[in-house]
Amino acid sequence: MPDADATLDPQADPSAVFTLLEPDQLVAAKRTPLGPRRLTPSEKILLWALRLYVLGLLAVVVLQIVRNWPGG
Amino acid sequence: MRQADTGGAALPSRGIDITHEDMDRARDRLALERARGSHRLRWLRLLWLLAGPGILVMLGENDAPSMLSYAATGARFGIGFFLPFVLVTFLMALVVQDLTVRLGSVSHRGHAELIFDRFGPFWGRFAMADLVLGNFLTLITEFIGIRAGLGFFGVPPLVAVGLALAVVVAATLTSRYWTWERLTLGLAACNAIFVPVALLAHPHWGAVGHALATWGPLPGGLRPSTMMILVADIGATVTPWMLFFQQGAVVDKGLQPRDLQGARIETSIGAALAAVFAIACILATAPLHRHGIAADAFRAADFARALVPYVGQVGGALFALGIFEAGLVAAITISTSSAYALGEATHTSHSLNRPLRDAWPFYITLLSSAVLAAILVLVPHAPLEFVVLVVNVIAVLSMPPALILLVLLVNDRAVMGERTPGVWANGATIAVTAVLVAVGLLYGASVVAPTAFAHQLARF
Repeated sequence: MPDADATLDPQADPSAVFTLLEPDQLVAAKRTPLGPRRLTPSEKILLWALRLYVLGLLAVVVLQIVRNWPGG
Repeated sequence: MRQADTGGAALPSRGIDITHEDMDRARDRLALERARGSHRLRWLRLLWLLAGPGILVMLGENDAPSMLSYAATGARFGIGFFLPFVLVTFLMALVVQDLTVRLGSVSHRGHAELIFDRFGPFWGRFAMADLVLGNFLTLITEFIGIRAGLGFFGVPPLVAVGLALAVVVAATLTSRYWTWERLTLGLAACNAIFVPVALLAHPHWGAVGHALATWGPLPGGLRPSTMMILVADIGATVTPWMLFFQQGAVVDKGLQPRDLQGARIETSIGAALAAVFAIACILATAPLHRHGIAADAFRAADFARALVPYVGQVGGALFALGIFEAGLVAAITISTSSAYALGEATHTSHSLNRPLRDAWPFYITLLSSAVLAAILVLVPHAPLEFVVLVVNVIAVLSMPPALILLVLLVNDRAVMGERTPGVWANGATIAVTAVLVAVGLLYGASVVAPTAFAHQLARF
């Protein structure tokens, strides 16, 4: 964005919004979702591996809670 | 010319709606542009205006369970290994958060929005499940801290929790990001309260210097029981909500690529402040280790009471206030993080610059998560103590997939154009991910097979 005129005031002149904000910063521009991208096979494998890692270790957390449960 | 969805601005004829949110954001940009054009105290003015997301995310993560984790660290291990360790964890947080600043200021979209848009709802739902679970459990612990902190002064739980909720509501319903940010920054600054408590504890500065230089001592060595506190201290600085919050706040604040350098400095200042306050908390409770006080079963108010003989009544009271403040600030930032993420994922309005009537699902999400956590804390005999113990651990465990999604997004040229990060930033984030995975696996081994784990450790 070029240097904005420091005298621009969106309160006085709403068109100043177009100078002060980048086009894709406007709420109207953000209503359009970005298109999807295809994950590569290696990215999918990595994400699945990390998902299983999280699920496995969450099970460990549950195990620890059960072991430490009062009276358990 | 079309009708704006809110607030009666006279619209320019460009066929684009201008919303209340756009107007507020443009006003914030104007203040920044004016500061850039000024000659006197230019950097100071810019820093004041850019301050917010980075400092809030770092001090917000110095939350009740984190400060309790540092307190337990000081009480159990004293001045030693964990001082430099905490510094390194904040360095890790800085590496990761720097990418979210870049992603938010270039894409102008929130973290959840980008995950859903680019990778689809399947991976988006996983990311949201991690976030929602972690955030809600953390919110419960914030209210436990709030209740316990004010409980030290004899404030009844209902009053303590009600007061905190009133502050969350008051900060949120200003319908102006700038006001919300300044109010929350003011509260977050009170995290410095742990510094006078540390000074009252009269730490041995030679031992502090020795610990920072040598990474020691570590009383008892690395044992299975040490793993829990090690993981909890990492979880006190590196967590998924921080990614969603800072990116959402950067977008809501209206930062642009030209603000990147200033935003980085602001995040670094936040990390430095948070690290100092975290170390102050460890130093504050180190006398408990020196005097052989068993603090394993301590809760928030127990630390404050146990510290009174060593830091005085004032020190104990400041410590209790610090836990209250830590919980309060995090209750605001974490509930905001949940609301940003849900709004982004569902493509509904999600800005603190929006009036309540325009973005009521956003505000309902924000406030209802805080209210629900507060109510749970008030339920008599609810078995919530285990939540305090595991909340930071869960944060660490759910971080690696979040980091990989972050790396994929910030290197996505369709989102970032030419502004993808360099080799060092990517390499550092991948290294942080590898460290977190390794720590998680070690934690798992220490729980599943503690005897074998201890045996292996003894061989080192």
